[in-house]
Formats: sequence, structure tokens, C-alpha cells
Amino acid sequence: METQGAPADITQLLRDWRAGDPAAQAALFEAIYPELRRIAANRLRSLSPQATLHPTELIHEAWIRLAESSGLAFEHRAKFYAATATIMRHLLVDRVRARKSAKRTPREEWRLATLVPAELDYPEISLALEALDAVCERQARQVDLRFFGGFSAQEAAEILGISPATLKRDWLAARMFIKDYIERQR
Amino acid sequence: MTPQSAEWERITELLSVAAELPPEQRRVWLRETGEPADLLARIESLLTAYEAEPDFLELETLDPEPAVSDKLGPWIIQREIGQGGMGRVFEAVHEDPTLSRRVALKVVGARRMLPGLIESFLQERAILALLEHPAIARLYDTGSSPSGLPYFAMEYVDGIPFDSWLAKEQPPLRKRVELLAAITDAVEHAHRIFVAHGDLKPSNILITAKGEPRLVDFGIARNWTDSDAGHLPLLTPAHASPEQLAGHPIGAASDIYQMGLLLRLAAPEGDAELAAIATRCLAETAEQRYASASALHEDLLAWLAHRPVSAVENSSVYLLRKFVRRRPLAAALVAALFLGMGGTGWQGYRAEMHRREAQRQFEETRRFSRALLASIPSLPASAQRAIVESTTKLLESASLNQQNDPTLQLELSYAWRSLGNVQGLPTAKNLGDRESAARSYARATVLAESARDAGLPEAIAMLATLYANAARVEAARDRESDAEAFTNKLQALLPGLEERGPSVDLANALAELAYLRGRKHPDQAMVLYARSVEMFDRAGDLGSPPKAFALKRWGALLLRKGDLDGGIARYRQALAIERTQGATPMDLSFTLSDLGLACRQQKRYPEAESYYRETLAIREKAHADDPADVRVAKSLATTCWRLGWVYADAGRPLDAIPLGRRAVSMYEPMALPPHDSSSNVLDLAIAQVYLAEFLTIAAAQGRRNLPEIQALAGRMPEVQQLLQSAARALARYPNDALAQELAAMGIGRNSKAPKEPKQP
Repeated sequence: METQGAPADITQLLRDWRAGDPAAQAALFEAIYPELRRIAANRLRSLSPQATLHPTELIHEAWIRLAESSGLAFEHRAKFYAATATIMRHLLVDRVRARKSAKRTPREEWRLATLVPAELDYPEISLALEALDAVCERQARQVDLRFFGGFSAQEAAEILGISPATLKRDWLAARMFIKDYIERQR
Repeated sequence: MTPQSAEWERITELLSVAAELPPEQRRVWLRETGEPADLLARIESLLTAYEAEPDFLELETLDPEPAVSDKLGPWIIQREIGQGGMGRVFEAVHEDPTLSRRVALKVVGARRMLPGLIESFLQERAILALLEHPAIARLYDTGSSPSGLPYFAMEYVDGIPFDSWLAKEQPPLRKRVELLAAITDAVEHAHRIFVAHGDLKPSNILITAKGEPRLVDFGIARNWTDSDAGHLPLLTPAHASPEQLAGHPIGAASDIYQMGLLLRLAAPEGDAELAAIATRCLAETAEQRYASASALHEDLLAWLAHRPVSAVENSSVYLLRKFVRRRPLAAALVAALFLGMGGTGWQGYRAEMHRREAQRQFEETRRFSRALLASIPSLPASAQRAIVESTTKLLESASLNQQNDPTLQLELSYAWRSLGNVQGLPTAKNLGDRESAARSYARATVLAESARDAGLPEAIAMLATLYANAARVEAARDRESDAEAFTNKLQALLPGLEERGPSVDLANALAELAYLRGRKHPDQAMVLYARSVEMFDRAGDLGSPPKAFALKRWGALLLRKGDLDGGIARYRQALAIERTQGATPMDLSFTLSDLGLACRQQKRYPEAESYYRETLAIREKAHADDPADVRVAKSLATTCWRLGWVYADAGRPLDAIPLGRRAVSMYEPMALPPHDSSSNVLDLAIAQVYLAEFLTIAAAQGRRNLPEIQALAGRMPEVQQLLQSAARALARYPNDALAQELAAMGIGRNSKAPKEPKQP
């Protein structure tokens, strides 16, 4: 099965990414995207009919599963979460753009289409995050983890390996940066 | 670390301190830090952006989660019931122990505060406040926690989820469908205010111990007239419609889809109609589903009443099967008749069987096939069409084989005639297909003529009815010469009927002829009606519906001619027959109303009043029984002003006024678009003119009478207004003869003393 090999690839990709290979993130994205979709889709199918889930929670669960099943050590897993949160953001932005350009979503794409809350301008936020990433990667990752990844503040602090105080300070500054950036672009 | 990054770390630090300060002190403090001006400018820009929306991208609530024995407003939390997509639900009681009210308290907050959550929560609260339906848990109270997080209290439903109820109670299919029909009604109620529930699943339908359903959790419900903004694309995967899964906003169609899933759960297999209803609900695209929840509701009710279900293809086989279910015996026998004849043929059948036995069976099948044919007019049009179609085929194959047996020919003639009546006899409920009707009558005529030529005496009466019906159909097709020809054929049959002495058949033929001749020659018709009624008497018919009908037609012609006493006498005879023959109250009311009219013209006011009073009582009851029946409502309104008219003529305008007002107020809504057909608009105008008339008469009396009547005179502007409104209505239909008559009567007379108004 094609999915059997996936976790190992992901581990390798994470290692490369950590080692500073700039191509690794794109490759990671490519490797994880279909896997994430597959897990989310399975989850959707097998989900208890009683559950009403926010799609972000769903994808969140999906990649925790992916990370655990790939046998990553915690440190790797943290990187993985951060990377996939960023990927999640890309997915959202892509979907928003796709939804804007095409009225009808192709049938096979529905599962990801549901992952897009509609009330914020995700492409704008994403651009601001790219800018923030250039000046402070740690803060950008926190936004990805919490806002797009659905991790709690405490989880994000653990993944990023920072103190709650720093987390709080970073969170405030990151939000100000994004807001300010978006307003400047308008 | 790049210089930029180092600078940002510094900014982060300064911002975190500044944000802790009261807003007005932040900039003062910043300037005191002695940082370079460009850095300060950057920070001030950031602060300004922040201050415009401090919660931007903020996710988590600082509220501690509510727990048992916490209080929110007057509500004391007792236990947690559930956790949903965006909140938790607690059972709670009111702090005042004398109010033993238990509520379900829903509090905003999920494991993570997601963007838009509070907006969605408030939306649910607002939607619940608008809904009031026995099958929807109602909203009691709303409020917010000390830190401002909203909550609401709603009816606590002591029940179990739909699926558990199905498993536990194993209710009969009927009960399940009744329950889903009630839920569909609730959904329809929400749709009426453009609210889609969006999450109709077993756990959101609670069944109480009494077996009553309650729809709960409007958490992802939304008003589909709102824009997308602020809406979370929440869903329950197993119960989501394709368009929900595709990320499209929910609407009526997604609710209908989810009802289909529930129906499948409730009626998993076996019933083809319920399966068809579910399939229609579950169609891939919204256009293929039921157009509305009420259409679905209608089909569920149809299923419960054994009526045909619209979801099932209108195949004749289906409709016949449905029919069989409601009238099994009649259907079984008509099938036996037709198939027996069509397949092996009557002759072959008779050859095999003993003659008497065959005759007995034939009589039996004939009785039931007649019952079936007679029941066709009461079916809905779609069923009629299907039955007519398949019956035509059966009759065609049967007719081919039956050239030589007069009894059977006559029977087939009867069947063709019944078909023709359903296809297009103007005086019966019909499909309006006059051409097919004419064709069926022609087939019937050939068979009946052949039976007559073979010496079967009953064939003549059959032919008489056939010619009469054919004449009516041709008249309805504006083919006067054909109508005339059939009428003449009918007349030519009379000597043959008379030969056999007095008979009800002859009386009926005379009445038919009277009707047909009366269209152009009322005087001839009166003579014929007189003969017909005499013949009914001589044939020993003391009271049959055809006789009562002949009497009324005769009476109507006499009234029109001015012979009021004669007309009233005929009507009274007809009324006596109808009272003993169990005519329906509404039918009776038409006779009573005509009598009231005639008596009023004769200035026999007490009699007129009594006839109209009885009419009014019958129609009041019919209207109360079915307020939606427009025909009944209109007839009631008409009776109101007609009785008022009697009072006005009798010098009792004060009794007339409330009746006139009632008529106007009943007609008013009927004359508004989109119901403003000429007849509705004119009906209102008539009532307005009469009310104006009543008021005027009352005012005229008032000059020398009671202060109360004088007060009415002071309200003459109302009269003017009524007449103006009526005049506007009449002006819309300048070519309508009735409108002209009314205009001349009403507008010209409003200030004069009353005189006899013309009959509208």
C-alpha cells in the first residue's frame, strides 16, 4: 500500500528540513498533503454519527495520528506539528482561492473544502505570516500552531519549547504584526 | 539573528509591557523609554492596529469552564448533559426553588475557542427566539456570564434520541412515520423564517416518554438569507448533505436531505413508497429533491393516509396499487372483470361454466366494477388520469371480443360512459379532456345501440344518458350544432321510453332534455321540467336527488320569469327531498340560500331571514371545520351580506351593518394580490357597496331616531371610502357586466333613501 512507506519518508524529510534544506519543506508539504487528506477522509467516514466536529479539529486529529503512527520522537513530532500547521495554512489559503475562483467545488475535493472557515481573509493573513516568518519564525509558528493547527496555548508552548510568558508575549506581538501588516497593505 | 529580527524581539518586549498599561498611558510610557524615533513610530502603528481590534485572531476564552453547582444568572447547574460543536449543555434549575423549572442550559465554549464561535452561538440564540413549534424545544431565558460569555436556557426535554428510541421501543412503522412527519412540520416552521437546521440527526431529535418528538440543537442552523460571514462550516459527517460536504452554506435542501437519512433509518426496508420518499430527499442535487419541507410533509401525510405519494413515479401501476389498497374489494373485482373478459373472453368463460354460475359471477363483478368506476371522480386528478388510461386499454381489448352479447355490450357501454364522464363531463369532476370524452361516449353509443337493436330495453335509457352527456360535452366545446344534434337524438328516444309506461328513466331523460333545451329556450324547459317531475311522481319516485335537482332547476326558471310563488314552492319541495335524502349540509345550504333570495324578493322577510340564518349556520360550521377552503369562506361571506340585505329591507339596518362589515372583512384579504382575480375583487366591491348601503339607510333613519344612529350618520366618510374603494375595483373591470350594474347601483345611490337593490 502506498501509505505504508509514507511515515519513513516524512521522517527523512523532517530531518532534511531540520538540517536546513530549503527544499525540504516543499517536499514535506507534497508528502503530507495526500496523507493528511487520506486520514481526514477515513476519519470522516468512520466518525461516530453523533459527533459534530469543527473541521480544524478533524485535521488536527488527523495529523496527530499521522505523527504518532510514523514513530517520530517527540522532538521530531514537534517539528512535524509546526510544519504541518504551516501546511494547514497553505491548504486553507488554497481552498479559499479555489472557492473564490470557482463557484462549484469538485466532488472529490469536498473534504478539504470543509476545512475552510469563511469569516477571515486567510490569504491576507497568510501573506502577513510570511512577512512575520522573515523577522521572527518562532512567532509565526505559534500562530500556525494555534490558529491553523488548533493546538492549545500550552501545547504550542511545549511544541515550540518556550515558556508560557514568552508564548504570551509572542502571541500578542504576532497578532499586532499581522493586523498592522494587513492594514498597511490595504 | 538578523538586525531585523533583533529589532523585532525588542519591539515584542516593549509591546507586551505597553499592552499591560491603560491605553492612554501607553504612548507616554513608550516615549519615556528613549528608543529611537523610527522604532517608536513603528510600535505606535502596531499599537494603533491592536487597539482598533484587541481580540483580532484571539482564540481562547479566559473564563473558567462552568461546573456543577455554578450559577449562571438565575440558573444553578446540576449536571453536564452534553458537549457540542461549540458549547456545553447542562441541566440546570432555577435558583428560586418555588419555580420548579428545569432547563437545558447551553454555554458557549468548545475545547478551543475557534474564530466565529461566539457569533454562531448568538445566532443560535436569536434563531431559537424566533421559533415556536410544539416539536421544537423552546427558549426560556438568555444571559451572559460575568465575563460576558453568552448562554441561554431552553426547555429541558426528558427524552431519548431518535435512534435509541427506535431500538428500545421498536415502534410500528406508522408511528415512526408520524413522528418524522411531526419533525418535518417543525423543520417547515423553521424554513418559513428562512432558517435551516443543518444538523438533523438522531441525537438532535429527542423522543419524550409520551412519544412526542422535540427537535433540539440549532447550533449550526442559519438564516439562509444572511451572507456567509460569521458562519462556521460545522457539520456532522455521517449526516451531512453533499453540498454541505462541498462547503456550501446550508439551506432548506440540506435539511430535506437529512430528513431523508432519518427516514431511511426509521424505515430501513420493505416499504417501496417510503423508500421512494427517502430517495427523493437524498437526491444528489437540491433541484431533484423535494422543493420544500412542506412538500415532503405532504408526502408523509399522504403515505399515512394511503393516498398516492408524489415521490413515486406516476405510473398507472403504482396508482392502481394505491387504489387497490384503499378499495381492495372493488379493485379486485374490476380486475377480475376486465382480465376475465380481456384474456379468455366472456364467451369462453361462459362456455366453461354453468350458465347461472356465470351469470352470478358476472353480476357480482358488474356491481363492483360499477362501484369502482363510480369512485373514480373522487380520486385526485393524477390517479384519475392513470386509471383512465389503463381502463381505456382494458376496455379496448374487451370491446373487441364482445360483439355479440347484448348484456355485456351494455356493461361495456356503461364502462365507456363512466370513462367519458371522468374525462370531460362538465357537470362532474373531470379531467377537462373533452375530446377523449366525446370519443368514449361514441364507443359507448355504438355498444348501447347494438344492445338496443338486439332487443335489450335497458339500452334505451343508457342511450338517453349518453346523448345527454355527449350534448353537454359538445356544448362545452362550443360545438353548438353537434350539441343540438345530440339533443335531438335524445328527444327522439322519448317515444320509445314512453311506450314502456311511466319510469324514472323517462323522468330523467325529460329532465336532461329540459336542461339542454333550457340553455336557449327557457319556456320549453319549464314545460319539460313539469313533465319530468310529474313522471318522477308517477313512477313512484317520492324523493331522489335527480328529482330534487329537476325541481330546483324548474324553480329557478320560474323565479327568473317572475313567478316567485311558483319558484318558492318548487324549491320547498326540493328542500324537503334533500332534507330527507341526506344531502350534504353544503348542498342543502345552496337550496336554502336560493329560497332566502326568493323570499326576500317577495318581501317575505321573516321567512327569508330564517332560510338565510340556517344557511349561515351551515356555512359557519363548514368554515370553522376547514378555514382554508376558499369556496366555503366566500359562500359564508356572501350569506353575511345577503342576510344583511334582508335586514336592511326589513327596516333593521342596525342588524345589517355588522353582517356587512363581516362580509367586507372576509373578502378583503381575498382581494389582495396574488388572489385579486376579477371575481374576488368584484366580490369585495359588492360587499362594500352593500355595507355602504346599510350605513346610509341607518344614517337616514338617524335623523329622527336614536343618538346611536346619529353617530353613524357622522361616519359618512366611511361610506364614501367604501364606495370609492368599490368604484376603483369596478373601474378595473370596465367590460364586466356585473361591475357596470354595481357601479350604476352603488355609486349613484349612496345619499338617497333606500329602494330595492338589484340582485347581483
